[in-house]
Amino acid sequence: MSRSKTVKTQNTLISETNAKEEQIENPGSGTHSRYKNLRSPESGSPKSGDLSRRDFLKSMGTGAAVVGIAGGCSRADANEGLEHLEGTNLVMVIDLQRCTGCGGCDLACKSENNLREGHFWSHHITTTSGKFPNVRYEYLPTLCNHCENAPCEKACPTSALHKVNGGITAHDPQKCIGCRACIINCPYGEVSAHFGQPHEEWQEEEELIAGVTGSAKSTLEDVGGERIPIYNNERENHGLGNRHHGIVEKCDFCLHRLREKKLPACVKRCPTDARIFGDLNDPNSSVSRILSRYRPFRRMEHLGTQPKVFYVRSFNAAADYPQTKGELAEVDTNEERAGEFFSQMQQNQTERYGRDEDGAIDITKLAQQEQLFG
Amino acid sequence: MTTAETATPYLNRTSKQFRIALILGIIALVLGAFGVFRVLALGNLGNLSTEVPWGLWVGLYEYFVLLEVGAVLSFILLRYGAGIRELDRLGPIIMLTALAALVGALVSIFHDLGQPFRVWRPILAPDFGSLLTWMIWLHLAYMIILVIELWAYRLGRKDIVKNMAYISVPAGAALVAVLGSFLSVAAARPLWNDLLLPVVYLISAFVVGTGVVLLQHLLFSPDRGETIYYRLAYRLGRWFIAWILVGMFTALTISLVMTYAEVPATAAILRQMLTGDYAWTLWVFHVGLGILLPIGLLFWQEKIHDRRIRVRTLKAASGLMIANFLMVPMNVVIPAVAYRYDHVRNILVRFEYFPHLVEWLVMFFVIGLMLVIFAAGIRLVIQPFYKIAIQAPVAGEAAGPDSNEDFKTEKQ
Ligand code: SF4
Ligand code: SF4
Repeated sequence: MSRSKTVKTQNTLISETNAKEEQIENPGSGTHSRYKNLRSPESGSPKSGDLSRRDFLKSMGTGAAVVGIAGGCSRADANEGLEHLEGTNLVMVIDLQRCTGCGGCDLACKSENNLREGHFWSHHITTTSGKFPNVRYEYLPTLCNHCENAPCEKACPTSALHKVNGGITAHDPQKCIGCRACIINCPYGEVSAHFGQPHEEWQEEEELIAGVTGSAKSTLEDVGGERIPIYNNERENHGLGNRHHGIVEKCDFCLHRLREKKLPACVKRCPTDARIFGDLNDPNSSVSRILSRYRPFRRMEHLGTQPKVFYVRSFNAAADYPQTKGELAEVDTNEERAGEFFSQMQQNQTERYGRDEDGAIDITKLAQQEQLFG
Repeated sequence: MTTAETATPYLNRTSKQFRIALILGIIALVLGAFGVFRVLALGNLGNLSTEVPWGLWVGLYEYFVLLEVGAVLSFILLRYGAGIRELDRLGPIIMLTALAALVGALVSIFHDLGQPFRVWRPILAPDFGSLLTWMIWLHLAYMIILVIELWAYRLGRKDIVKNMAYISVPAGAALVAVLGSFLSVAAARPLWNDLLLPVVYLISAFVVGTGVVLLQHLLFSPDRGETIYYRLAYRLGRWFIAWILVGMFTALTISLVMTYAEVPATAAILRQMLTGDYAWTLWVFHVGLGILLPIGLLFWQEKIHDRRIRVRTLKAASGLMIANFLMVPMNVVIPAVAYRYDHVRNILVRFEYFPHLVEWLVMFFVIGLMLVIFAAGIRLVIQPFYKIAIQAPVAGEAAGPDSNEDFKTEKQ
C-alpha cells in the first residue's frame, strides 16, 4: 500500500497540529544561500582531493569489491548512457501556485514506469485545515528528493542505491538484496518494497462490473497475455521494465528518458508547467533563476538530507481568485468580476516570472529541454 | 574434586539433554519447514509491507544478537573481570549457546531478505559506507571467534580459550554497538535516535547475558548437587539482580527524557507504546513477566532456606527473563516502523502489523535449528571437553602449558 493510500484509509490521527514542528519546517526560514553547496560543480561527482570519511570507507569497500570482482561479480558502469549529464546537478522545482492538484504527474509516472497497483513514485500529500467555510486545502506533490546526502544510499549494503551523473539517486535492481534498509532510512517514504510478481492485479478473474465489463485477466488475454495492456517498453532502456519480487523500487527521475535527452515523464505531462526540471550548476537555467527569486522550501530540511526537490510559492486562492464563501467572500461576485480576477491572475503570473532585468524566466518544457540538452 | 565416578552421571545427564534438545529441535524444524518453504520457494514475506518493512524476523535477529553477545560478554566479565574461577567449566556451554544464537540470528535475517540468495553480495561486493555491511562482517568475524573458541575447548587448549575470550570482547561489543547504531542513525525514525540504542543494547546484552550464564549454570553445570553449584548459583543470582536494576534505570530515564521533551515525533510514538493497542505486549510480557516477576522471584529466593526450591526459583526467574526479553527488540523495532510522524500534516499515522503465520513458522524453524546445533555441540564439544577435564592432572602435579588445569574445580 502506498503512503498516501494508507493516509486515505488511516483510522488514527493521533496528534494535532503542533506549533513547534511547524517552526522547524517553516518554509520561510530558509534563504537561497543555504542551497549554495548544491551548486558546486563537484556536488554531483566529488573531487578526488575532497575525500570524506564516507568516501574513504567506500574506497575500502571498493578495495574489497576488487576481490569480489575476481570472484565474478563485476559492476557495470552506472553512468553508461548518461555521459551527457556529467557535471550537472539536476533538481526539480515545484511551483505550488501553478500546481492545480490534478494528479497528472502521478498518472504519467505510473504508466511511464509500469508501476504495479499501490506503488507511486510520484505522489502527493493533501492537508485540509480550518473550519468550514474558512477551509484551506493544500496539495503537495511528492517524489524521491534525490537527496544530496541520501540516507537510503548510505544505508544500502550493496550499492544497489547509488548516485549517477546529475546527482540522481538510482537503483540497480540486480544488486538489491531486498533488506529494505533504504525504506527504513528514507525519511520521506519514497522507496517501495516490491513483494509479489509484477502486475499481479491483472490476474484477477473477477469482472469489474459484473455482466458488463470483462475481468482484468480477460483484458490481458485479449492483448496477447504477455504484457499488461499499458506496458511501456521504453522503461527497459534503463534498469528493468518491471521490477521483480523481493527488491525495492523508487523514482529515478526517469533515467531511461534522460538517456534519450527527454524530460522526466511527470515534468513532461504536467499541464500547468508546475514541475520545472533543470541543472542547478547552470546559473542561467530556469530552476536556478526561480530559486534565486523565490524563497524555496524542501521537505524535512532539518534532517540535513539536502533534498533536490524544491517547492516555491504556495497556492494562495485569496490572491488571485474571487472568494465566494467565507469571510473574504466578495459580495458582488459575478461572472464579469470573475473574468477580471482571471486576467489579473494571468498578469500576476507573468509579472512574477518576468520582473527580472534579464527578461522573463521561460519555464516552458521546450526551454527546459533546450537548457539541459541543447 | 571431579573424578571418573562423578563424570559418569554428568555424561549420562548431558546425553539425556542431547536427546531432549535434538527431539525438540527436530519437531520445531518440521513444524517450521512449511514456513521456510513458503518464504524461500514462494517468496511469501508474511505481513511485511512497504509501510512496515521490518517485523518479527528483524526483532528475532536483534534478540539473538543480544543473546549471543550478551552471554559471552557477561561470562567474560564474571570470569575474568569478577574473577569467578568456578565458571571456567561453564565456558563451552556459554560459547555453544552463543553460537546457536548467532546461527539463529543469521537464519532469521536471511528469511527477511526479499532476495535471500543474493546474500553473498554484501560479503563479496560490499559497500562499507553502510552500517549493515559492517554488521554482516562483524557477525562473520564473531562466528569465527566462537568456532575457534569451541574448538579450543574441545582440545582443552586453555591458552587459546583465554586469548579468544579477550578478542571476543571488542568484537562482541562492536557488533552490539553497530546493531544499535544502525537503527539509531536512521534520522527517519527519531524514536531509535532518541533511545540511544548503542548504549541501551549494550546494557541489555549484559542483562540478558547474565541471565543466560545463570540459567546455563543451573541446567548444565557438571557440579550439580554440590555446594559449589549452589554457591555459584546464588552469586550469579545477585549479579543478575544488579544488571536488571541497571537496565530498569536506563529504560526509565530514557523514557522520562523522551516524555518530558514532548518532541511530537517520538513522544507520540512512546505514548502509543505505553497506552496503545499493543501496549499489553510491553506491560504483560516485557515489564510484568520479563522484569517484575523475575526480580520479585530473585529477591524472594534470597529468603528461602531450601536449596532446591531456591534453584528452581532462580531457574524460573532467569528463564522468564530470557524468554520475555524478546519483547525488548520487538518494542524497539515494530513501533518505530508501525507509527510514522507525518511532518507535512503534523499527525501520527499508524500502519497495522501483526506477524503472519508464516513469520511465526519461520521462528519455530529457527528455534529448532538452534536446538539441533546445541545438541550437536553437546556431543562434539561439551562431552569431549568434560572427558579431558577429568583426565587432566590435579593441582600440584606437572601440567603442560596446554593442559586444562584451570577447567577443573575443587568441590567444596
Ligand atoms: S527521498 Fe528518500 S529515496 Fe529519495 S534520495 Fe532521499 S532518502 Fe533516498
Ligand atoms: S533493499 Fe536493496 S536498495 Fe534497499 S538498502 Fe537493501 S539492497 Fe539496498
